[in-house]
Amino acid sequence: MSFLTPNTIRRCAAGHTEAQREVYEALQRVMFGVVLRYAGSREEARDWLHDGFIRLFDRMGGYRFEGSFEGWARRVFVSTALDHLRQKRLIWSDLDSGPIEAVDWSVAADGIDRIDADRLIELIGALPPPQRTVLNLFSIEGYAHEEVAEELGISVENSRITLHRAKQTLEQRLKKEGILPSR
Amino acid sequence: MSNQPKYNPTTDDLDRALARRVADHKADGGADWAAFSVRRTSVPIVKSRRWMGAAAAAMVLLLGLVGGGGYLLGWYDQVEEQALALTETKLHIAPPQEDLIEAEAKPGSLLAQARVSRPPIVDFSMPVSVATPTNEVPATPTADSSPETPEQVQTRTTRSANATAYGSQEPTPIRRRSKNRLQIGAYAALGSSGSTPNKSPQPQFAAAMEYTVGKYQGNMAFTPEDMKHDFPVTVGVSLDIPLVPRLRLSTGLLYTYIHSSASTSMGAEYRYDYQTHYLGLPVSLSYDFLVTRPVGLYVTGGTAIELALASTERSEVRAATGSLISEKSGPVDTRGVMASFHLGVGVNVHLSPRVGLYAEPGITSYLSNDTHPINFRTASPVQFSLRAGIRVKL
Repeated sequence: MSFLTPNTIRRCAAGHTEAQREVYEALQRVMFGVVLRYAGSREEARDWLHDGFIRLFDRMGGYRFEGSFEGWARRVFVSTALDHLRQKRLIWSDLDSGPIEAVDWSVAADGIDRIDADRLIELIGALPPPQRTVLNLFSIEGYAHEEVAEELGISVENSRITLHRAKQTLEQRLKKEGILPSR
Repeated sequence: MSNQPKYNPTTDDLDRALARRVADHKADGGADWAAFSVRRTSVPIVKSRRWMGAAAAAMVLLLGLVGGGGYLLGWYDQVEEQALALTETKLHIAPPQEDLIEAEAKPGSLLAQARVSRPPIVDFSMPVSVATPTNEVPATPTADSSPETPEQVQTRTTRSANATAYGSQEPTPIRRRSKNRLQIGAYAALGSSGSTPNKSPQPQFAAAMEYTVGKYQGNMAFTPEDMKHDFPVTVGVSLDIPLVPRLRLSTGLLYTYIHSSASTSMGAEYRYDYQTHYLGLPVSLSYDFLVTRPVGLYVTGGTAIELALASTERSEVRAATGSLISEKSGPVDTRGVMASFHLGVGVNVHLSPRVGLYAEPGITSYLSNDTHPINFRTASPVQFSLRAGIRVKL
């Protein structure tokens, strides 16, 4: 987002409509991609995108120009998505448990590289909400398990197990899609 | 957080492939700025609140001036009326004031005809009543209708002597004020209060609480109890312009203060308050369908355009012991105007010919408007209101 100048961000934080419009138009597609991964549907994602921008504009004054603005904004949208998931009380209901077996994910990773990105997002969106949320936070947003656990109010172990189950489910879906060979 | 995800050492091939493919993937959700700005609750932040103090001070000053002026005029009217009544009593010719008012109120009455046909000048030194400008219906006994008693002769002689002594052979003018005069007034009004289910204010409440508490409590789902709305308080000044007899156009300036709050207990007490300030321009038509004294009735209907000047919010977290853990306050985005329609019935109580108090219960319908912070007007657009004030004829 190099075209979002510090001046634009400052004006946006001060409530200038034109600057807010610039920020909105610069971020809306990438942030829709973010919330879509957490939401169950595009309609829901659209609502979350709306709420995320409201929150973003409300909190712009808190941006300290440390690190990229897009990364900071992304965190606001992730936080918005998590709030919505919490309200639906879906995150905590079906957390998984059990042993984690060692798995080589390199084949699945090759499949991920071959599949169309839009279709991949649909597959991620079709995961059970707890698996989808942990996979998004850990694998895609780059949170550590400790951060995921803190963010979601679960144990670190629970985060690890849920991530493992998410990858297993995703691998099965990739096989169903014919992206990965069935063993 | 940087632009690229911060890969932690526990990631594997699949994590890296997922991040590579979708972390920065753009998707078109069909959203655009126009739709967003229409739907969202607010845009610009009103940062300065100095004007609010000045506006409140000006309003108080204006209310004081109008109220004080009204009181003085009322006092002056009372003195004048008392002097007039005293004079009329001394002259023994004044008909009861109620009769005069009743006679004035009846179109086509003798007094009404007299007021049309001649200027409102009455010579109290003459032995003829003010209510009998013609000789058709004498209001008091005269020499023409019956023989004078010795007391009447004495009274008439005294009146003439007094008139001569004061050198006022000219008729003594007694001014009767026209009913069709401009009126100014001041009033206060209360709207409905109530509560709205937690569904609508929840995002506002949850966002404010999360902002206050910070990310370390971010796994909490802030679900407030019902949002409570206090009585909206309105104060205003009015100007009534007579159009035709009984019909007047009212306008003025009004200021409204709205306060709402929500709270929830989750180990600690989480409370959220916000207030909105409106400045408005009302326009209405009023019809006096019962013109009597001291009490009259009228119906009124009109519209008002109110500009949301500013909103502020405050959120706080208190421990179960009551000690303050965290708090935040600041402006809330607010924008645009809110239109409303009002219908009411009013009761006028005349304290004097110039000054009257009134009470006006009514119903107000606020047009749908989502550019304002959630409040009782946006959540419950039809509300009862009660306005009470004072009007002074100029």
